[in-house]
Amino acid sequence: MKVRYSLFIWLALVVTACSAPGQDTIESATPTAETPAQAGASPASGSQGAPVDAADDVIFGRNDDGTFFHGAPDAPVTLIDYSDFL
Amino acid sequence: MLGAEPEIVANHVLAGQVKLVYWPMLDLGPNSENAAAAAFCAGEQDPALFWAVHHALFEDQRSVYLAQRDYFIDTAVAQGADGQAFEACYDGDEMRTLLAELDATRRDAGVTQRPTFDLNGQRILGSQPYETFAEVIAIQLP
Repeated sequence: MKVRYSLFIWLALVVTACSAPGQDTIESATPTAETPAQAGASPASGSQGAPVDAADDVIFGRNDDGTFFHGAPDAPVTLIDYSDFL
Repeated sequence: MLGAEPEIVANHVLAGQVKLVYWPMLDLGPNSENAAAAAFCAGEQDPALFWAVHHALFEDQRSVYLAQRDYFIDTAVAQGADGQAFEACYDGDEMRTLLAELDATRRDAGVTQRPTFDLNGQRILGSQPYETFAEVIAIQLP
């Protein structure tokens, strides 16, 4: 019985030690959302990303110009979708 | 955009190649602005909520044409937005001012066709199949 209990404790410590760094990384990549909109931003230049949620490789954030993005803030290609909800 | 978006997200956004940005066009009356306000006000609480409401509105596009205030509130809340904070944003002037500024900026940039896509300065006009986007993305990648 003591052997089983010790094995359980050992496994719990190993799992905890292995998972902690990943959790820290996600939290540190989660700054606060920026306030809306500085006027005068242009569609071509208004993409200084601030990721606010990162989990399972999905990043959602807001640009300095107030628009929203999906993806890595420093991705080599920025695809701007100009469209109307109607 | 919903047509090619799932494939763009799966193949390029999640791979770190593409950052997808939504820029509102307000050409079709009050509900163009109201729908955009709904998505942006949800995003004010959490950028992930912007995309959730964005998708919900596009998937129910027929309803958006004639939707009333309650429809937008219900849609945002259904996606997880806090109703009270959402209503304060939706009914306020700040987000409406931002949307008007963004719309003016895209007009100044010469974007008039719905939809228009800009990939690092290269424009694609109108809805296009995924393959069209994939070709341009491949050219743009370093």
